Amino acid sequence: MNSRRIPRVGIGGPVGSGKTMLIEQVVPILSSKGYRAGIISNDVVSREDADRMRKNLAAERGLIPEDLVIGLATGGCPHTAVREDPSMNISVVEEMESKYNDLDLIIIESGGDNITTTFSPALADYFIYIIDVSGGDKYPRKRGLGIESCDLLVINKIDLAPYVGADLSTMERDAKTVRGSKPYVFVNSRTGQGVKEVTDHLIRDVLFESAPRLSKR
Amino acid sequence: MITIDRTVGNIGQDHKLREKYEELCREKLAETVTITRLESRRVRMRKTSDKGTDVALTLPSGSHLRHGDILLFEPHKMIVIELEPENLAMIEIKNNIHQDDIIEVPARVGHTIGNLHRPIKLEGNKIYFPIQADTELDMFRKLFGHLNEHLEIKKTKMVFEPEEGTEIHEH
Ligand SMILES: Nc1nc2c(ncn2[C@@H]2O[C@H](COP(=O)(O)OP(=O)(O)OP(=O)(O)O)[C@@H](O)[C@H]2O)c(=O)[nH]1
Ligand SMILES: [Mg+2]
Repeated sequence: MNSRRIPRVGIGGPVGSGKTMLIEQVVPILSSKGYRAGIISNDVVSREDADRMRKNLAAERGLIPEDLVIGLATGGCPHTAVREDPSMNISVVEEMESKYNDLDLIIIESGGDNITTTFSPALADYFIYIIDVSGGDKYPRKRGLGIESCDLLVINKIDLAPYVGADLSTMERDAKTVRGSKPYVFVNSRTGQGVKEVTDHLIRDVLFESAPRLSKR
Repeated sequence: MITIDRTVGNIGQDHKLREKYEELCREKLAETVTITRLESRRVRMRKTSDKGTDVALTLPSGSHLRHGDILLFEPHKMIVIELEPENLAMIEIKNNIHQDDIIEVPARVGHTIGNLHRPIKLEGNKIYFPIQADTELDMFRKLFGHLNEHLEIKKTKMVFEPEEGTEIHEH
């Protein structure tokens, strides 16, 4: 257990808000800048998301080795596996650390869950909470521990805003009120709009680098 | 960016360090880094001090930061951790409990708070725990029912460092 501690980012949010798709957008950008990420995807019963990312990011695009995408079926209340008792996730993290010590980052997706999801600080150094606009623009205003305490709030699926009558400027104003000076980003994970901003935050606040590093591979 | 991999004492626990801190404060050479309670349990983060110093923390696994921890101590500069004050409920148990109820009142109060998954801080006959909205005070008054005649419930805002072992999750 003497391996180097690899920085860890947790991504949480309600079911279907776009956690997996955001990871699928973030990893290629990181990879193009020379950063290598491992992925742990928590799901309640299936390992569908992990299988999808392994196929997309590892098998088809060869961005990371296939065994760096791990699916965990948590059962029960998914938040417990990243907050109350993160031991299962931590043991996978440590396994990755000993096997791939040159990794730059480990990304942990929580199972889709409620607005109070947070990550245990023992598991994640940084916590992204992702919501989408399809529930209307009231979401940030409703607060909840995830929205308030995350390091970065991602508001996803902005392409859908016109269809559900969600006013992005209302969401922006409320996000500012609820989060003070903490950052938020509007994203379309389908097209990649806004994703560079997300990776810039990760590079600065988790990897502690400011200027993008040149490709090291 | 300066990287800090360990703390060097606490100004709340060491009066010599406290004096030094106050002296540097007067000379405007002291800086603070404000963190939340959640962040106090983190070992890796990047923060900016109140004077704009860019600080990267890479602390030993399993360690945690306390209010007053010193990140940097140099002859002409000191950087100290400050925990962000939180909205808390303060429950004071009054001195009007009959001998027969001496166990019942505090036990029921503790049971109710624990049921709602709050960490607590005890001070004399006062119990503190975090709340997110003022309306929670009314909820607790309802839950306490007949116990209320023995309790004084108030909202307050201050730094909250829970008792060890009550750091359960909060919904
Ligand atoms: N229109 C639109 N659809 C999106 C966007 N992001 C994700 N989706 C769609 O939303 C659905 C859910 O996306 P996922 O990435 O699987 O969501 P998730 O949060 O990982 O879901 P769970 O892990 O099951 O909770 C998929 O059908 C995506 O195609 C977006 O920005 N715009
Ligand atoms: Mg998913």
